[in-house]
Amino acid sequence: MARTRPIMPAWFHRLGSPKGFYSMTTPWLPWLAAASLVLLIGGAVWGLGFAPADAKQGNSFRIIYIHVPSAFLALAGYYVMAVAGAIGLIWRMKLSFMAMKAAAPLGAALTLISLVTGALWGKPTWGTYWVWDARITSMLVLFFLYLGVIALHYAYTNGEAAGKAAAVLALVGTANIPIIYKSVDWWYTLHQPATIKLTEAPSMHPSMFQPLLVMIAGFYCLYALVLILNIRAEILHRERSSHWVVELARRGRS
Amino acid sequence: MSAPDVVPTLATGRAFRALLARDLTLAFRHRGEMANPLIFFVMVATLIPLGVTPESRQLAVLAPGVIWVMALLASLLSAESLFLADYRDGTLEQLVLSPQPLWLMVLAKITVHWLVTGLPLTLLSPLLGIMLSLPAAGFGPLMVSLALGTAALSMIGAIGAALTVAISRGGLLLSLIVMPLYMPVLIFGASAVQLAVDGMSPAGNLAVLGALLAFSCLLSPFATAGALRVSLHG
Amino acid sequence: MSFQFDSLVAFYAMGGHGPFVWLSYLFTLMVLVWLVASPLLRARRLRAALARRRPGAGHQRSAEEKES
Repeated sequence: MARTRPIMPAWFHRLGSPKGFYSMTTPWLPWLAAASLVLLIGGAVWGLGFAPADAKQGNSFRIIYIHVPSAFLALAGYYVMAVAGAIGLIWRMKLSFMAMKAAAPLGAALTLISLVTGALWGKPTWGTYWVWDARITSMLVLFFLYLGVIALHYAYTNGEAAGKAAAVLALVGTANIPIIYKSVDWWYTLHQPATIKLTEAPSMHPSMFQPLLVMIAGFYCLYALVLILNIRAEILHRERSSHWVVELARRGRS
Repeated sequence: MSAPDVVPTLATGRAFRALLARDLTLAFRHRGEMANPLIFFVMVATLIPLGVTPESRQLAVLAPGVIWVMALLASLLSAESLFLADYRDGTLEQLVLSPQPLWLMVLAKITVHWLVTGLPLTLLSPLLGIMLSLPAAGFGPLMVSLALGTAALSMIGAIGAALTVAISRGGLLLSLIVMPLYMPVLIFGASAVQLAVDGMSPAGNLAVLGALLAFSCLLSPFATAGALRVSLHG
Repeated sequence: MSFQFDSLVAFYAMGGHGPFVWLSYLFTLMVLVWLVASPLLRARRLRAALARRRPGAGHQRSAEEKES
């Protein structure tokens, strides 16, 4: 029984060539870097100095401008990782596995930022650094899911098998994320009838919400930048015996 | 020398039953190993009063969650054994290469695994309920939730076992991988017992547990089969 | 939209929440800088290692040519 896979246009396969990806993304880097810098610094200054403080939480509210974007990207990043794994498995694309491998520590770092800033926000707000509320607990579980994928990558000695195994795990995790989130939510409401929301995005005043949008956009740009940088480094490593990489190294500039 | 046109293969249903019978026989031959997770289960029940409090009323508050956590850990301990023995002696390779649908063969192995780990755990749980002062209302839901839950845990654990079977000392990695996936089962299992103890109906939570089991039965055999192929053939 | 604080000192103090806010931003900055720097450093190390290893012209068949 022949294995068929979906037919894709030619550019899709060109995109999947490591050399093609490397040369295509080189001009993108300065733009992504500039956009990330402008959006993140601008958004941070805006949020720190110019957005109004929250009536109840005071100035600790300003942590939201990091906590929410990082949590957002951490969750979205898991799907990026899982989709990259799925594409790699279906179309046997090496580049897709490289993208997934790059997305794992990136997502884990963002989850860590979200957890640490959440703890630092919780202390002045609720008096303790750690509170088992639904949002933070779900973030912790997401962190464990990322760690599992990273650990699996390292445990396999064969790089190709590592990518496939990690892809299977990422996909299983993806199917479970909605279940985990819903069950943690349920668990929390069962034990704490008064639901305390850490962020109140829908009921935020626009002057508080706008810098948040800027920061989210900035984090997105940074995510794309770091992901591409990591894929490029991985390409250099895996293709190190090929002609174009050696030429690149000898020329001394990327 | 030409190969025969039709290679005689075992009918799928018979292959399933044969694998079931083989695994059950092997498990009973190693009764001692079978007992280990159960002994662990009961012994940890002693650690809780020693480490926390022997006071019966306080134990009763902790009992539903603690029994469930210990059942989860015992399941985790036994998950590694699902494929390891067969991997070491080459049977796993044969299974993967055989013309039988791998997901079905995996299903047979997981079923036996549950029969020799989850089921005994469930039957042993009233003993722990007594040791940890579980209120009477909790015993029934405890057994039902454990029966459903340990089956789901066996299904989920199989995926981790398949991903780590070819890795040396893969047991710890297996735990790391599988724990987040175990959490929903724990949440609904423990809260079913807690609700019953508090006088409310556990039916909703047990229904969700059933749904989790059904979902894992659907997802796991295929994910496990795929993971086995990756582990063995890279 | 105006500056929310009376002075830079007040900005720094953040009404008592200063340590938490600034620690958060500082920690994030360090992690983000590391996220960007680590692949750049890795790529530089890889290129340097390759340049050192083959001082002459390298007749390496392209891995891609081999693959297709």
